[in-house]
Amino acid sequence: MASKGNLTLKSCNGKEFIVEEKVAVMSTTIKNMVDVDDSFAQGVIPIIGVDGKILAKLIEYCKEHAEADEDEEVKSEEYLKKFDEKFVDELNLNDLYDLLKASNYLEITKLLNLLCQKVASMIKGKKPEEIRRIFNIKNDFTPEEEEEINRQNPWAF
Amino acid sequence: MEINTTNLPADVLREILGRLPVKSLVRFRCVCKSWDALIRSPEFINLHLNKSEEEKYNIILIMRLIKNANKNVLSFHSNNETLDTIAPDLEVPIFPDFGAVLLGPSNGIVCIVDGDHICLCNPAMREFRRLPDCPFEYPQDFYRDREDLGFGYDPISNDYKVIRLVMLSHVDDYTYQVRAEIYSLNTNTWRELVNTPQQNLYNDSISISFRESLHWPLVDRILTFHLNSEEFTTIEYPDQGGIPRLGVRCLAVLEESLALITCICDDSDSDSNSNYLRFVDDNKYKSIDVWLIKEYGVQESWTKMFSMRSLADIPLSLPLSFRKDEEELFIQSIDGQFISCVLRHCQQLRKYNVYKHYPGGVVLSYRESLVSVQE
Repeated sequence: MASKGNLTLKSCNGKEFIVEEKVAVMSTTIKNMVDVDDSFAQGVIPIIGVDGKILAKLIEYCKEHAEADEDEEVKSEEYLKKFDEKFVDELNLNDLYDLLKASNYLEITKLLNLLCQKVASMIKGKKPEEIRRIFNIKNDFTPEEEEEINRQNPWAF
Repeated sequence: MEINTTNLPADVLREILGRLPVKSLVRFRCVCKSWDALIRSPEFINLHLNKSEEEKYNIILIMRLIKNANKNVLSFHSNNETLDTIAPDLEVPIFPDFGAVLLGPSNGIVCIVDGDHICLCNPAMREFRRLPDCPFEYPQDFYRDREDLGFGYDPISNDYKVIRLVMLSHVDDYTYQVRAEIYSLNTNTWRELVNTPQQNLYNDSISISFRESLHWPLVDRILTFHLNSEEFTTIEYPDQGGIPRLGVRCLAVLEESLALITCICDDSDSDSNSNYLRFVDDNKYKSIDVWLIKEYGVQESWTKMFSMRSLADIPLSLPLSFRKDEEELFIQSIDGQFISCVLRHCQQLRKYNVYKHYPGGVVLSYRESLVSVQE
């Protein structure tokens, strides 16, 4: 069991992580659980649908940011910016996707914003057919409909 | 690379797309039907607008007349030191007449006025909308002497409005009357405003939108118009004898205050009693001063912040506008060069090689949006 001031988070594949409360409550979802029900603060908090690998990444991110929020001197804005850049650059696409879903579910707003920005900058120059491939989307326009949309805004292509 | 997005939460997808530039989003409309519907929905357009509000004004928009082609064009430049061109020029589909003015932007929309021709434009979407002609007739023996224009967004009625102040002068005596006409994009009609203050207009002064009101620098004072209540008020100019009655003045927003930019001519003393407003092109300014009103509406709180003087090789001409979030004032020099001055270093003028001859254009800091002006 976690000592006072610490919380135990358990991934969907059974991995347990003991983290400081200030790190865990970067997640609004966890904060609400702890605030509403005291037993979570004592026992183990199950993190549904998030495996150990992804949970470890989430904790790594929250730890840096929780410490920075507490002491700006040690972790400057510039330091955090560099950390964020490195953090998203090292992710492969599957991890990026899993982290997006997990940070959305756990309401870690800062991380969610960072990841959305990363995906946005990855896709902004792409062609529609590349977007369909990346997001595994089926084109449900008829060729005539697609041509009509393209005809309206030729400058965007 | 491939992401299986069949179960990517819809709000995450919106968050990602909300961070994309307009050009990408317009292109991605043909990805699939659900993306097309999302990108065109009013909720998404608002989300995208709020996202871009968090960012800086990242585009410098310049409108200029191409004389030999007889057309006005808008050009897009990055908000950096070299003002790099970032998109093809956009031709303004109204016939150049008296010299166009560019008003706004509000939520990525600008208003272009040239004589009787007025259009709204979303430059990022490369969309224009010609406004219907103003239907009002003027009384006999009066002619349209001066006009001041305004454009802004009223968040309460979610409407874009164009205001045209017209000063009608009598053909024989010196009497005049001022009328105000207002266009609403929601109704696509003009109507006349009542209780228009009878202030001496300046002619072609450009309104500044601040605190949900429009502000015009008139001859004797600043006229304000609240975009929702549609009421006029006035703000007095600084009372230090520092504001010449003649000579160009314009308004801006600087440090979240209303700023007044005044230009003092070489020869402003010689005809200070005349009621004649000279054309800007004839003027050569000795200095340009920037004032801020620290307490909105209070005349005593005007403070002169900066004063810049012409340098020997670059006579100042028309102040254009501030680069947003920077204390850099764009100026047109008398010989048609496009220059700027960083206020903290008043004696350092920057020259931009954007156009060799920059003939009486207008420059704005601009932030793009998906807000459509078309029906």
